[in-house]
Amino acid sequence: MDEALEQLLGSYRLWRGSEGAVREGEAGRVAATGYSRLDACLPGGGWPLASLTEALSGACGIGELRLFMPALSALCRQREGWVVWIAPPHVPYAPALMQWGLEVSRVLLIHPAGDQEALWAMEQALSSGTCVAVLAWINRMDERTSRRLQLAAGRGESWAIAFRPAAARREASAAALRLMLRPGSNGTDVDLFKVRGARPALVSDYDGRDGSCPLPLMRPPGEGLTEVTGAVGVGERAGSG
Amino acid sequence: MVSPPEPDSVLPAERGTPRPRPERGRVTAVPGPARQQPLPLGGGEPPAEDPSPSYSRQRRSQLWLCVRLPGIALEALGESAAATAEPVAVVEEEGGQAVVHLANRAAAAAGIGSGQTLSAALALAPGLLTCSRRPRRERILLESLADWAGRFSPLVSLEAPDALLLEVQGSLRLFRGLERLCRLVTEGLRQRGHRALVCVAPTPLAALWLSRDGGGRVEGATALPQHLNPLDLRVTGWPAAVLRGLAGIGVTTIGECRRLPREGFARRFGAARLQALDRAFGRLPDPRSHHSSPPRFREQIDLGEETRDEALLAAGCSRLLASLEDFLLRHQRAARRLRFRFFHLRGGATPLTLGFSDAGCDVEHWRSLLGIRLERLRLPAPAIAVELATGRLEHRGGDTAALPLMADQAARQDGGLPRLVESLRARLGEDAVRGLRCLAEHRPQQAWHEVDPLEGMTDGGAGPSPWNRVRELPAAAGGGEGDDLLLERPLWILTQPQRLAVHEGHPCHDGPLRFVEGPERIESGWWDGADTARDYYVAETDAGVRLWIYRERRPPAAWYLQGIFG
Repeated sequence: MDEALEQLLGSYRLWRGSEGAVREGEAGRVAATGYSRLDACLPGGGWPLASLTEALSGACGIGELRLFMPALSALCRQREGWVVWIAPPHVPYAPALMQWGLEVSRVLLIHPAGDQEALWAMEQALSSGTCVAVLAWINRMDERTSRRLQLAAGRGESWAIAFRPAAARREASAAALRLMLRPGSNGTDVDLFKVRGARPALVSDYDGRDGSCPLPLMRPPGEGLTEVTGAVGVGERAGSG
Repeated sequence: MVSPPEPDSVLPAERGTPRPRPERGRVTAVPGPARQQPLPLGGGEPPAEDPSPSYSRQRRSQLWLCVRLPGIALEALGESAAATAEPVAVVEEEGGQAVVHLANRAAAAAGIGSGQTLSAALALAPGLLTCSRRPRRERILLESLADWAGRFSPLVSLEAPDALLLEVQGSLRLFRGLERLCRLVTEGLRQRGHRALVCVAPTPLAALWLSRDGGGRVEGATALPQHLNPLDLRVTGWPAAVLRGLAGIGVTTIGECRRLPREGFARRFGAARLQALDRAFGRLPDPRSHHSSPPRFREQIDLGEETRDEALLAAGCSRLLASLEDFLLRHQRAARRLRFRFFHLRGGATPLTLGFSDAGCDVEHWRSLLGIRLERLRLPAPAIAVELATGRLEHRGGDTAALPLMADQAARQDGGLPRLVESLRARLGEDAVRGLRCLAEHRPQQAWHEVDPLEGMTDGGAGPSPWNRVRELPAAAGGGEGDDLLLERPLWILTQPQRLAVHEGHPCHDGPLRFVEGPERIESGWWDGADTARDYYVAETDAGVRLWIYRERRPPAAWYLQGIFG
């Protein structure tokens, strides 16, 4: 039995949640989200920078931008570089960006012709090392591409955020963090279903508009099991290295 | 008389050779007292051989170096034509007949020489490859070599079609003697693939004529007649009719010519001929203009074969870029725009333009941009040649290096930010990459505009309107969002407001909307034709999507969707 277990643990296909965890003292590589209950669920206490974050949502406008704005504007104050928006569904409204504290002159809007071009532009921007963050709205992205983006983000030390449709949840991805936004009973819930270096978690009503501040929930056992296989399953390792 | 330069020497790198300093305002020659008495009718020594007071006495003497490129017609056709082992002849039209202008070594071995008709040449070598002469390319090549020769002399003059004249008296010390200078010139040209003949004489015409005879080196003015007199008159390049006329009276060499009476000679064969003779012997000044290269770069290379292959095209362009880099360095210029043209055999050319935010000379960056563009380039036909031209060149500023103390500034000056924009534009197109600016304006539609992202990278655009104040971070605000003056704006805006359906007087968007905040009245713009009078509300759909909607205050008082709080 022990032998079988060791064999399994030694297998390259097995990804362990504790791997790649942000160690103490490496806090420079994360950015506080600006939402304390989210910070509590993320390793290191913030968004993992220099890597790929996938944000899935069913609809545009349920808070998918608001989620990242505090961290983006804080990053912009710390570091020089572009904030690149690739294939946004609408035009980001400059006065609103300013309200959130994001310097408008550093926004770069890119309108590529299709997903392929968008991914190329994303990789180019990430690896150029001149971007604080790259936000891209991408429908189709296979696991190999996500790994390339993950590597490019590490190379260029920029934060990649891919906004994708909710259906992408079933796909494998090399992103360091995958989350899903969905309208909850009160406010928007953030379902962190793959967190490298920490357990999956659900934060309901993340920006607490209604004043209620429930603590981050651990998954109910039944649901958690399927999620765990999704994130920690055998065969996922290639996507998460 | 002929003293060929010695080829056996180790040469310093070309770039290491210091460029002679041009002497501003220097007059090549001043008019001297040209003697007006006629030449003797015959027999006696011409007066030019007397130790006469010529201008060279009053002025520092000159020394002219003539570089003649006998093979320029072939060399201008490209490396492949010059280097091939096949017999090749350059042909030109002369009196309605195709005549061989120049034959390469293999063709010459078959007995083909200049002046032969093409049919005769083809009879001697049936496999002869013929190319027509390209005077424009010869000129371009000669000019580029003149640029190069500028490192040896402050005064380089073109002598079309195949020679350069360099005034080298002032350069002798720098290059440690005439011998070494000649060697450097020949060796340098040989490395560039050109066969050159180098002659030296105190006057430019004498040097040129000597070079046409096969070479020679005359250092003192007194030795000129001795070297020039025996030369055949054909070296002067005078029109055939003049030469025929002179031959008709039994005059075939320069020496014989000079024994003719001056006035009669000028009347019969033209004053210009007499002047040329006087100039060659230093009796008249021969001012020469300095060749200065144009402030643009234009160069063309042959690809050797028709190709669509990206790697071959890239290699060709890369060579052009290397040459451009050399040009820019030499002239201390910077380029902002590069135009490539890919020529097709059947005519026409495909252009490719690279533009940069900043004039520069960073060839490595250009190469990477070009690589992106070449990937996307769809040539309608294979290309046979590539040309690279620049627009206006700008002066290159000195590089400012920051002190180590000012690390922040150094990072800002590294130019990395525009590069990303340039490389994205190279592939996606100019309009696909945009920037944003705020305007001080109450109407939401007019409060922003798209701009070129590189425009005014330092200033943040117009000031904010009072409602667009920077809002504190939620974390820092500590939940105290009690600022009533802060009217939240949506992160997404629709470029065209979308009309909302109305159900029982209630606006709908995926079901009826629930009002969260409002109204906020915005009424402005009566002066510019975009008069706006609207009541804005924040509304929420059932799915939790928050929208920014408004109602027109004028009839028909319709509801519109303006933005989405992302």
